[in-house]
Amino acid sequence: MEPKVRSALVDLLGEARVQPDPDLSEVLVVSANAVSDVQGILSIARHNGVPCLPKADGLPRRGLVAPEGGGLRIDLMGMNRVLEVNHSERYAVIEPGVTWQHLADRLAEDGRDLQLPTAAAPGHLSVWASSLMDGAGGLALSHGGLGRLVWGVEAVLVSGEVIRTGAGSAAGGWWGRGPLPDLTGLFLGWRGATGLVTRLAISLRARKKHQRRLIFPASHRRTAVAGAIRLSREGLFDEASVLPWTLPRVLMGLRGYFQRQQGEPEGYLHVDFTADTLPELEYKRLRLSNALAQASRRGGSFGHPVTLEDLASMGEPLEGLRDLPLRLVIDEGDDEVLSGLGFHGPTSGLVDVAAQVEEAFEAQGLSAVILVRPVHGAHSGIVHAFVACPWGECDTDSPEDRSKREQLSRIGMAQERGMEEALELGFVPHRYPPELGRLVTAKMHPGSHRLALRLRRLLDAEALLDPARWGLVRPA
Amino acid sequence: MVRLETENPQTLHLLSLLLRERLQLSLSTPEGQSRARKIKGSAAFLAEGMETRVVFEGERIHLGQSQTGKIDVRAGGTLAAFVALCRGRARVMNVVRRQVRVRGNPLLLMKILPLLRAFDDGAETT
Repeated sequence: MEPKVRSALVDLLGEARVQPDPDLSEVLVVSANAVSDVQGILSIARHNGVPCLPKADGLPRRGLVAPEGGGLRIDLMGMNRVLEVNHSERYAVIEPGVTWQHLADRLAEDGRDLQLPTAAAPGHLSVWASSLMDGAGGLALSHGGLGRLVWGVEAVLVSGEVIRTGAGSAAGGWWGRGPLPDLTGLFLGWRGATGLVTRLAISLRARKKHQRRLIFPASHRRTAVAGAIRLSREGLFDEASVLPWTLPRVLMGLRGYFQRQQGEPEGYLHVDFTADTLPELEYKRLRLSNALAQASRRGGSFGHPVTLEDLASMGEPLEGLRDLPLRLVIDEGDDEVLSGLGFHGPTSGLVDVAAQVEEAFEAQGLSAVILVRPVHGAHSGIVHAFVACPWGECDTDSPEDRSKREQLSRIGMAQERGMEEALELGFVPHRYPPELGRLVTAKMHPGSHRLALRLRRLLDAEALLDPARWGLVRPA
Repeated sequence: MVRLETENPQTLHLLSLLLRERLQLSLSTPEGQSRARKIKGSAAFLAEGMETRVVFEGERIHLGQSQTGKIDVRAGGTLAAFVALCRGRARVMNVVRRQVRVRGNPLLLMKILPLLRAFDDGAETT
């Protein structure tokens, strides 16, 4: 990168907030603490033709947070204020660096009448990242991905202009997307390619008095998924997701290739439900038993449930299960990251896609953690596949580096095949390594892709923001 | 010093992993070491189709899933009942209500159960 770019950034932010990326060459990490910082950084990037990507805590290190070929990583973690918690309309306005844990703590301080829309986001992940990537949260079972819970954003365009979407753009509050053209969608799922979101309004839910969190061992994944779909259609439950047999091993710190043992449950159905009264809780419990009995009529069975709290008490590696927001305790060590694939698609294909993706990893001698959950009243579902992936430079000829490179190569091949299979079965990826973006754009309707390119050019003619994503290449 | 040995950990299922975790916790305390040293015999635990065998040989405890060899006591039930047992909750009531079925030498089981409580977690003992 040209010295004048670094020099201009240092003049704007100070030496301490302009640092070389510890892992990636030709990448500078610049820390923004305010909207004016973001505007200044984008101005320097614009004048020097330097690509930029936003970063907030929780995104995987590999690929997603640095422009290919060098550029700026704009670290937004310094913007970490909860700007408003509105108790009557039940929403919060937050900055990008606010994590799920931070928001949970703030809601607890504010009187415990509201709770997070999520039951499954790791506490250290930023609400901004989960929401803009349309990740899944607790309310996903009834409402869909977290993107649907975003009621508006404030964003800085590459031109430096600050814009707002949703009700907050025209009214005094951010109580909904408003009866206006839904411009919020211009910033959801684009991964920063249209502008840098610096403020986000997310809807919250009223806290119920009683909560039950149960894990049901299931003989087959198909049975567990059928149960989750039934529960989703009931509309009475907060969460119904299927955890794989591989998860306990990974939570307990094991890595490598696992083989399911004879008699071992193939999945664990995780169900959360809440109620204001004990009779309501009992009614939901009965509906739960009924739904699972019906789901197992086509084969397979559910074991007796164990509460998440009890399971969490069985050992330190499982303790995170006790907390809300749930810390899905797959710790990333210094030398590994979790590499993930995620797909939205029809519930009728959830089991097949999970099986195909699992097979793709197994063919490479890898065991992935594959989570399946219906969303949005079982109109659709999400499949997530995670695998621990080596991290750090591995460019020497040492046996360790060769082994790392070989493992990365196997993971890459498994992910590519998994993506191909899922796309073939009608699923749409929402989380994938950037190099596989070409598979997504190849599958898109050509008209849709052209429209995306036109919108993108309108907002960022130089294609400085996330130039590789969605095939939105920089102009020659 | 009592050692816990397991089969290839990557083959261990949830029940075995939970048992391993609880035994490791117990063996990290002097009281757990002392209790474990006094136990001789083999026990099989069964829950939700999973089976784990634990063999106590004084200075060595072997935990595995191989279903061969002599078993002195066999305790089967739901995963929830197993977790309750480990937490020290209503051990006797679980057996009386037949949520846990015991075959073989119940006295051996009664010696093993305190080890699964892991001593330092403040569990109930009724």
